[in-house]
Parts: sequence; C-alpha cells; structure tokens
Amino acid sequence: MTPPLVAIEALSASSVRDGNQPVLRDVSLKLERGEVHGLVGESGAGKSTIAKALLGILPATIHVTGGWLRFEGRDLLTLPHGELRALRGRDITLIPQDPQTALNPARTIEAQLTDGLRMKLGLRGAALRDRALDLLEEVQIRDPARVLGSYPHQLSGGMRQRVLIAAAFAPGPKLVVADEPTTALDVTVQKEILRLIRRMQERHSTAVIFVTHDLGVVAKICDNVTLLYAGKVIEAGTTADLIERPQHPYTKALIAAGPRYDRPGQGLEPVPDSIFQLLRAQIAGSAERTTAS
Amino acid sequence: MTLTSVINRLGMAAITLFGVGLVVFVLLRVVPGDPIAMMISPSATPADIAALRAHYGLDLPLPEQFFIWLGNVVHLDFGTSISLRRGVLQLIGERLPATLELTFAALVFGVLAGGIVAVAGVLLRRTPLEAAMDFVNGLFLAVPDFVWALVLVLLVGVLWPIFPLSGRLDPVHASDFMTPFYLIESIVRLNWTDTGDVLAHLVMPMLALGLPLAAVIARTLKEALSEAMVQDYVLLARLKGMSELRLVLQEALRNAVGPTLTLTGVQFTFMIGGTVIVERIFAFPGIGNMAIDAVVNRDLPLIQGIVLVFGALFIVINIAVDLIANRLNPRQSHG
Repeated sequence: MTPPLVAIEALSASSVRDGNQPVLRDVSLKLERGEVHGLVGESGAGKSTIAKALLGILPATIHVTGGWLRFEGRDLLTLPHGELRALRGRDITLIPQDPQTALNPARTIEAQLTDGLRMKLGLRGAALRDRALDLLEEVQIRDPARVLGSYPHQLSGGMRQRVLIAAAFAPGPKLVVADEPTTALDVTVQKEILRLIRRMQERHSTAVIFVTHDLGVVAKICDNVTLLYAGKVIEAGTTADLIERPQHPYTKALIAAGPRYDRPGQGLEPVPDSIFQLLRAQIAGSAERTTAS
Repeated sequence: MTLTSVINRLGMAAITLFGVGLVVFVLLRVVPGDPIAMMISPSATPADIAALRAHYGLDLPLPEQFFIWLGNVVHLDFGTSISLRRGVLQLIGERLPATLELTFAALVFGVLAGGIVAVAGVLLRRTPLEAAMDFVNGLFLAVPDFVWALVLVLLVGVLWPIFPLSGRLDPVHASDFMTPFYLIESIVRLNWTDTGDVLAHLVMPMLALGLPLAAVIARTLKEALSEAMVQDYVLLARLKGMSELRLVLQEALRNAVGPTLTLTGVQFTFMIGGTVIVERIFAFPGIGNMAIDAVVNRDLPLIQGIVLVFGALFIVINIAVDLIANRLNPRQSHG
C-alpha cells in the first residue's frame, strides 16, 4: 500500500524565543492525494508552523521536539538539503498570502511565472511560452500575451494572485500549500480566488493544504479540516461533519461566532471565556499526561 | 526621458556651469597671488609688468574680464595658458583622456570589487566570516584615496616592486600612439604589449582611487541586499528551488541596487576630485596633476578651464546615473 501523501505523526515543536513555549503539541494529520485539507485556527494556533515545516522553512527559533513529518514516506525534517531543494518548487509549491509583496517588482510576469517550468521541467523557447499562455488562460486572465510582458505593479491584486496560483500549479506539484491566500484580497475577489483554487486543484488532481482562520472559507473549499488551538488539534474530520455536527464546545462556539448571512442585523457572538478556560485546562491536562508517560 | 526633461536637464547644466565659472573666476582674483609675478624675471621694470597685465587683459575691471572670458568660453575658446603658453583647450584635450581612462578603470574596479564583496557578504550572512568581512570593510571605509596612494607606493615601491609607480607608460612605447587614449587605442589595435604596459601603469593609481569606492559600494549594497533577501518574493523564489547565489543575483540585486547606484555617482565625482592628489603622487599625466601645476603657477585661464571641465564631468555623471536608474526601475520606464 502506498503511504499517504502527507503524514504528520505526533509532531511537537517549541519556540526557543518564548522560553521553550510549545507551538505544536502532538499534532497528527493525514493528507491523501488530491485532497483539500483545511488547517484552521487563530493566530498562534500553529497552522503556519505546520505549513512552514512542510515547506522546509521553519525559522531557526523553532525546534522540533518530537514526531515525524512525512511526504510520500520520506521524513521532511531530516531530508538532506539537496533533496529538499529538488522537492521544492517541483512536488511542493506555495500560494503565498500577500500578492502585493510575493511578486518581484523588477521581473516580468513571464519570468516569474515560468521559473518552475524552466528550472524543474526544463522547458525552453516556444514550448515554454505556450505553456505560460495556457496557464494564464487556465486562471482566467484575459489578454494573457500582454500580461506576460507586464510588471507586477501594472496588475491588480486579484490578477497577481491569479498569476501566483498559476505559478504554484505550473510544475504539476503533488502538494500546494495555500497560506491564507485570500486574506489580503477584496471580499468580492476572495470568492473567485477560492473557486479558482478549487478548480485548478481538481483539474490537476493536486492535494492542497489550506491555511486559514476563516471557517467560512473552509466550508467553501475543503474536503477535510483540522482545527487547532495553541498548537493542539481540537477537532478534525470531514468539513461537512465538523460544520454540521461539531463535537467540541470550541468548534461550536467558533461556528456560532461567524457572521450569519441568513440572519442579517444579528450581532457577532464572541467565543465565551468559559470555553477558553476549558481549552487551557485540556491542554494543561494532556501536557501532564505526556510528561507522566 | 521625455524631450522636456532633456531640455530641463540641459538648461540646469548651463546654469550650473555658469555658476561654477563665476565662483572660480571671482575666487581666483580675490585670493592672493599674481600670475604675472610668477612669470617675469626679477629684472623686469614696472612698465614691463603693466604691459604684460594689459596683454592678458588683467588690467580691465573684474566684471568686464569675466564677460570677455565667458563670451570666449561660449565659443569654446578657453584662452591661453599663462605658464605653458599654449591653448587651454588643447592642453586639456591632451590630459583629460588620461584622467578619464584612470577614473573609469577605478570605477570598474570599485564596482566589481565592492559588488563581489557585497554578494559574498550576503551569502555568508550569520557566519563568523561575515563579521570579519564587515570589520575589514569598516577599516577600508576609513582610509581615503591619498593614504592608499602612499601605502601602495610604500608596498610596491619598497617591499614588492611588481608595478611601475609613475607615469602612464614606458617611454619606449610613447611613439606608438596617435591619440591620447592609450588604453583604448592599444586595445583597438590589438597591441597587447602596449595594453599590458598601460595597464601596469594604471594599477597603482586605480587601486588608490578605487579601493575607497569599493568599500562604500560593498557596505551600501550589502545592506540593501540583506533587506531585499527577506522580502516575500525572495522567499517564494527560494521555495521554487533557486540556489542562494541565484536568489541574490536574480531576485534581490535589481531591487537593491538603487541606493548604491546613486551613491556610486556621488562617489565617482569625489573620485574625480581625488585624481588631483593621486595623479600627483604617481606622476600620472592627467588633468588633476595639471591642475596642481596650474594652481602653483597662478595660471588663471588654465585653472578656470580645468574647473569647468570638472564641473561638466560632474553633470554628465549625474545625468548618466539618472538614466541608468530609470532603466533599472520598471516602475519608471514603463508607465
């Protein structure tokens, strides 16, 4: 049997800067080929740490204290640098958070879109240009020939994010890490971008790790969800189960806290303090169990 | 650049040169020192002196002298050198090419050396080697060109004599050249013996002028590159699997080079000023060396001519820097 695409097993990590404060506590999750998996949580929940670990860009201040992070059975945490570089941009790519800063202002769209095609697939000349035009059409950019010759400042934020999505799917990766790809965008553009990522993912049968703090976004795009709080998995399951039959009080409160478009005028419900106390107690309890065992 | 901005630049250049000419003209005449006194024999009578003063127009009121000179300069007549008794323009024409070849060689050296040190420093960041390089670079920043010149004279003249220390070329080759651009001419003629000799003579003054520039470029460029290297687009490019060297050269350099370019322009004008002393130390027959002779001899027309040429060079350099900066920044060159 082939191993799952991504298997995170009992991953723990702590931040050296914050007095060895744990940032991941015993996190496990599996990602199958072609699956869209939401990684949800507040800031500091550890979702970005997991994404960075997958991309091999954990900051030096974060130490992995236990567990494994396997990609097709290979442990990414102990992979030699050369193999990691070969993997990067070929099998694992990133859709970044902020399209304003993720494109190099001094290079043309064509140059940046085709980096992966040139470096990883060895495409050159007319074949390269044709592929670039196809990609821009796939992400529904009108007048792709003109856009290829443009510089980033000549494009809107939505257009840039489309270019970045095209670049992420260009080399035919097995896993795309989408790091809050809609947070920096207009609400009107957000929806289109979500739909676009889903369509690209289906067409290329690529697995996507979708990092977000927004359960509404998860409901639109993800097959499965892992909900994190303070580095710990609180609840995980299919999106439908988690949204419709939340088990944990925190999940229920989060869903209740979201805006209800069916009932406009009703104020937003904050997550009650009692739930945070419960979370803290659970995390403290499991930490004790870990130390005891 | 649009036509209006070109016209603006030329207008500004003319005003600047007029100002430079006026200041130099007045300064030279209010400071003590009499060109006539430098050239006459001790037995000359007051009548002889008066005749000479009239000959050079030095007896006229100051404003009249200035406008006569200015009118001639506009017609590219810079007058006659009092001490050398030859046309100022002709003298400058013979000496300027030497200075241009020297300063451009020093510029190329400074940019290459400074650029390589900056890139190496960024690649080695957070290693002990980076700190060592920064320390040495700090020392180099503190040493001015004329001190380098003296150090090099000591090193090469006394301890390790591998390069000639004076002049522009070995006199045996002097008859080989038709133009005063020795380096360019010898390369165009593929006369590698001459090229080698010219380059050997160029090395010492080039290092003296180029090392301070290299230190400034290394410091500025490294800082800008380090800032660029933590930008999101560099992270994304790293995740595409690019090597660190490629990240620096392809992703960071073009975004980081702006401040360095501006500073290089400024430093280059300082460097042209520095030729005055450095050319003197290495007996290099350039315009800077001639400037010292002109000042010693109170040769007013020659000093004025040299200063105007320096002023014109500064303006040309500033325009060149702007043009290059425009080309490098897509935001300015593509609407």
